[in-house]
Amino acid sequence: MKGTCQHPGRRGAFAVHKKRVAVHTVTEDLQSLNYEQAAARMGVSEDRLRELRRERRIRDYPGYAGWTFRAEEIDALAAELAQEQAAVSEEAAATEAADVQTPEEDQESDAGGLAVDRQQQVPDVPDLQNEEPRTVDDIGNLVFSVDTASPPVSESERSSPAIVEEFISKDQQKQEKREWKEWRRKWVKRCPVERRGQFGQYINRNFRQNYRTISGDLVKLFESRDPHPSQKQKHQRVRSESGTGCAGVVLFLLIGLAGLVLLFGSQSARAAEPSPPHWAFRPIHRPVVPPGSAVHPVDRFLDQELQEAGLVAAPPAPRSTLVRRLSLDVLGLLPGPERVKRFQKDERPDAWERLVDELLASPHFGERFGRHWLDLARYADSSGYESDSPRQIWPYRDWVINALNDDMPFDRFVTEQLAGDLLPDATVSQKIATGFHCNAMLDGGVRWEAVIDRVQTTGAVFLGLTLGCAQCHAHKTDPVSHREFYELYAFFNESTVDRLSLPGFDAGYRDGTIKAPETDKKSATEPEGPATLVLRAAPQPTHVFQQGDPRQPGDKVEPGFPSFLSVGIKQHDGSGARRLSRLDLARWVISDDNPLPDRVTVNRIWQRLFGTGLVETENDFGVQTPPPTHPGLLDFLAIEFRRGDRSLKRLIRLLVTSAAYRRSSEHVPELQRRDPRNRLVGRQRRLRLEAEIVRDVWLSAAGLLSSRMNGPSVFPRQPAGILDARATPAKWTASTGENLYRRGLYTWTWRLTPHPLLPLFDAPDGVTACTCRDRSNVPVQALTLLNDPAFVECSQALAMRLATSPVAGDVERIRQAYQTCFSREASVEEVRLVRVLLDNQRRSLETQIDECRQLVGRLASSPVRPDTLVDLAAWVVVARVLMNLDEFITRE
Amino acid sequence: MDKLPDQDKPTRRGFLQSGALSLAPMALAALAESERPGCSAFASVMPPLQPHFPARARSVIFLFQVGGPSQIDLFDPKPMLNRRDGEELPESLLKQLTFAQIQEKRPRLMGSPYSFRRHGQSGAWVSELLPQTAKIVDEITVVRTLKTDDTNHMFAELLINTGWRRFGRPSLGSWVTYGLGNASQEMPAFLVLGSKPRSKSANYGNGFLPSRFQGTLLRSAGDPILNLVSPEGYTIQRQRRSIDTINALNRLRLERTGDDEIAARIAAYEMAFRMQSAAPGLLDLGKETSETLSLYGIDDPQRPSFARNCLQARRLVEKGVRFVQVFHGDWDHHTDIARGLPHQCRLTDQASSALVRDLARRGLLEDTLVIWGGELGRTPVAQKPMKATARVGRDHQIEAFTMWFAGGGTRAGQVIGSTNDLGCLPTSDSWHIYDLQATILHALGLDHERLTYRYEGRDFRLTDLYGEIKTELFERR
Repeated sequence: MKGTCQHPGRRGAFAVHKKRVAVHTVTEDLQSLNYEQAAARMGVSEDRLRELRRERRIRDYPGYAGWTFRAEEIDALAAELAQEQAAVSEEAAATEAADVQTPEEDQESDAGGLAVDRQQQVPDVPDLQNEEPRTVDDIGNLVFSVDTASPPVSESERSSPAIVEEFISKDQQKQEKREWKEWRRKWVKRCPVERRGQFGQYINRNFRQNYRTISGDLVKLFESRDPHPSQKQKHQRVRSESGTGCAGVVLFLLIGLAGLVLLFGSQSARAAEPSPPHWAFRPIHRPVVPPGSAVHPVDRFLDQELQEAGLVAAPPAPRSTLVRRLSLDVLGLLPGPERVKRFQKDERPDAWERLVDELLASPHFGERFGRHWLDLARYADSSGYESDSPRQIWPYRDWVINALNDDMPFDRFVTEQLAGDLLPDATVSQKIATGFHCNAMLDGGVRWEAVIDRVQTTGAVFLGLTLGCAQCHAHKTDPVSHREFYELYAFFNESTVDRLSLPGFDAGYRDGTIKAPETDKKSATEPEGPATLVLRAAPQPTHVFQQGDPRQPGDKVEPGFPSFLSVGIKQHDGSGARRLSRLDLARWVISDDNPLPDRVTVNRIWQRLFGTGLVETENDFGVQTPPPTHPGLLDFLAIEFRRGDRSLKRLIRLLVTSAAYRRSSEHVPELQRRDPRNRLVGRQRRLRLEAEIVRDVWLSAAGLLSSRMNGPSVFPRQPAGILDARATPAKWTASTGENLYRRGLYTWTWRLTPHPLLPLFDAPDGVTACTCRDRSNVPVQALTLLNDPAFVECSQALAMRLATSPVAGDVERIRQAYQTCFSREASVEEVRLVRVLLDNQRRSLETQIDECRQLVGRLASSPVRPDTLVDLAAWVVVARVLMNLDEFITRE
Repeated sequence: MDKLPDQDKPTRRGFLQSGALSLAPMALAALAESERPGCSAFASVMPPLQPHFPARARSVIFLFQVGGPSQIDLFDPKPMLNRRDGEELPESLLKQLTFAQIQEKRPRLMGSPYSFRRHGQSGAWVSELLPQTAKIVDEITVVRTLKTDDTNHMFAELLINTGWRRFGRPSLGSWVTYGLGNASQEMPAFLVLGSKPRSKSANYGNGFLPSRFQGTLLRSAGDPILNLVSPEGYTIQRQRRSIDTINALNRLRLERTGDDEIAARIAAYEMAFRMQSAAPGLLDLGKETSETLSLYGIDDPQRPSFARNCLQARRLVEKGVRFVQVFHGDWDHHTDIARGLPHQCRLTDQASSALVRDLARRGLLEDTLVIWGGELGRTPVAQKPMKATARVGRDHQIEAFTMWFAGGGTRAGQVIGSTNDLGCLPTSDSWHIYDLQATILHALGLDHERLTYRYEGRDFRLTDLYGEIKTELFERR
């Protein structure tokens, strides 16, 4: 989401409007011509064409007539002109002379109010003024009219001489340029062939301004000069650029300095090379783990920086906090009082490691980290754009969950998603994996946009690079050329999206199924039954889009890799002329020679566990990105990741077993003051839970959460009217039974009109890959958690659990509620406050049986004895309060 | 914020010492270091604060035109451009311009096909595409020489809304809320309507300011705010009692953790309670007369539209909301501007002018600064279509573009600034984005150099090290 170019942003929120425009223009535009084309087609000069336009011979085209000529109109006009010329010669010439107005005359007549005549010619800009007569404006008796020629000139806007001269001197400049080129060519010819390039630059640099006055032998002068001045200059430039890059970021000062030392250390060692590669593109070498008292290597790296800054890390968090933190991070679920108790009582030295292993083995791990991956994969259950038609691609979501649970090595995970279909004897599962790139938004007729999106997503997700800019031009900051962008494009251009029927798949979930809108013929004829979207190879030629314009195909390109990374994949294959496929791309991406995916991935996992990545711009490792806070640590983790077969679980285990992960997130004044953004990781952070997890923990504390995994997306209840914002019909029939209470990641996502909880708590919109979610905190969230019926139901269910719990006494039950919701003991003050509320509610509800029934809600239908009804109702109020606490939706 | 009059200035320490709340000494120590007005971590609702000097405006409505409207076709007529239509852009100018997408060596000029007329007493030029705006030219001030630093939408948006071309800084509305607190007891001080801009919530985020200063986005379709009604069985007393307990328990946690997010959550719950009673009436456009609805051009108050958001904005400032930002887009007409531009004008022209008129007739205009404009402008040169199925458009222009202002103590009926014959460079003083921000803060009685926040060891401000107050915008006094 935090891309650095405008292109990705052009979609998304505005896709609706954009689409609407495109629909109308498809057919007409194929015949539209620009100035050059129109003039050529008519066989006249462009000046003549402009003249004709001023004469209003080209009329019936709305707006910007000079820039979009309709072919048929141009042809008609050409014929007309030819006829005129043939029919009358002298007489016609005379009339025409009278007709043609000079621009100045044209303006005068406008100002004089001739516009009434022009009314007849008003092109179609209709809806603007239909409420009032067009001839008189209520302010200045002025007339609205459409004048495709010049508007009137005011005193203040008379042409400034400078610009007029500019137009006049244009030819002179051209002439001058020709002369210079001629002069330059003459001299370059005299230089020995092998030195010509340098010589050319030399004279460009030194003699462009004063070449007319130069005498003497320039080649000799060139040969006798200082042999390497340009090299020196380059070095200086690099130095100052890096300098400013670091200086801008105050917090990075210390680390920045270290980074600079590193940078220039390596630079001086390779003085022959013009500039050192950007830190992120350098090969990963195993760094030396710093000395220190800590056992865990991660802590050694962190402690070193903290010590240098003279800071003391926060103390470890209490065990109750730790188990809740780990459970929320790894599973996205509350740990449950039993697990907390067990861990607290576990005296073994490796109790924490055992807990970690236990949680990593849970199938809910795949759901938690699967949803993280789906953010990157821009997963949704509809096509996006205005039509936003439903699509069946949940088998891909399930594939992600299962792959993560099986701890599929990350290289295989990547390979199957990029090119599972091309693997030898591809299995159904491997084909399903290619759903990754079928998640691109897609609407009929704009396939190339989806292909562009696939290139960009590949860059953002696996390489941490924003490639979007290279669509139209050489990337301004990153080293991917315009051509290379299209070489990457070619990989995906040679693929098409197929529907893959999955007859063996679970068809048990049929409720809430979307019926495709009847207007959408393609979807309507789709056979029922489980299916998914997969990629299939479909060879076709790829051309560079000049300036990003598909209508201007340039050079033909073959699939290829950007050259800024010297990844040896081409050599590996050694098959010479063989065409590269998506499979080669996957291998290139995840090759050991490519340092980016490992750095990007470990940084992202770090971000999930500590709140912010070591590289803060987790989606941009490009050349403008400041070095990570802990460069050694990043590389250490990347190397460890590789060494451990790229097992994500192993990486996560490595991180969460550090002391740093287990630190307290409570306020430490000194750390807050000296390192407010916690870039030195001296403490843990309190993080508000993600949208889906907010609901999951509510359901989980209520005992309502279904543990059922996988299968078609489901439809929990949502407020009426959410779908009203759509232009195309869609349904939201609430699911039934346990499908009402499935985990949030199984909720059906209409890209255009998602379940309101998702945007409210900053879930991504599925338009482009999202690498980092916002964590907003606003009153409308409070309103939802307080008043939304789905959350109220959870509070009723929790109250029922408490009121019917075997433990006796209010205090015990309050303590139990704290264990359930916050995995910790309630403090004395907390128990007191809750008891006051409980007693107060009992009193106020004693005589209000109706209110009690309303509070208790659907539980009232189950047999509740009247004497327990008041009690239960009071507990409902209490449960709702506890579940609305900040701590409940925060991982501490 | 150095030399504020002290009497009305609540501070964290003030709250702590007043004994209104009992606090652990640790929390006191933790919070003592940052002592700023409006930052009282324990005040559940933000109190209003005194400005640095008497304000001209009480509220701001920023009608943010996402994508960059074409000033050349709307407010800044260029006869020479029309005469030179189709010719190459002079080289001297080419060198001074930065485009976003145009790659041609010599892009060609493209005149405007729309006719311009002078309007009103002021004689300001307005294109036929904005017939309603044309009628209010005597109520507004048109500035033609806005200047920004980035051709990229995301970064230009961030610059104008947060004063910085990267993510992470507080937005204009957040700074205003931080400086002035909340004059409304019923609604958040900073509300956002309409579609999300490209850099999304960063445009109304709190950056490094405490998160209670972030803008609250209202839903554009259906109910602007969901769940305003308490669940069955929750009387107003019971809801109040519940929220009191929630906040008391949250406060205990805040003392323990010192996490400002909890302070924000406490404020959010308090505000949520007040919104429950105030917002339904406030946001229900059904209470507006049909005359008002038709003034704005609203047929169906339920249907999302820019007009609906404009009317909503008026209702909000009426209730004391400090900063309303309405995002509307998309004006990014790289392609097919001939269709896209009139379309956007149709969607916005009547409502924008109706807002000014409506505010004026209710006596609100003098206290409300209305701003209309986007993050950048558009080029006088054509951009060849990028897409096989599209027509010509205009690229981004950052050197000079147009915005208009109304109310809030501005001197109406002016046209400020001029551009060269082709409309691509200013020929009078530029209004850099930092100047714009300094000027907006000035209207609200805030000194952009004194409105600072200490973070990472230094004082930050919205305008970085820049910003010149453009006093010519305002009535003399």
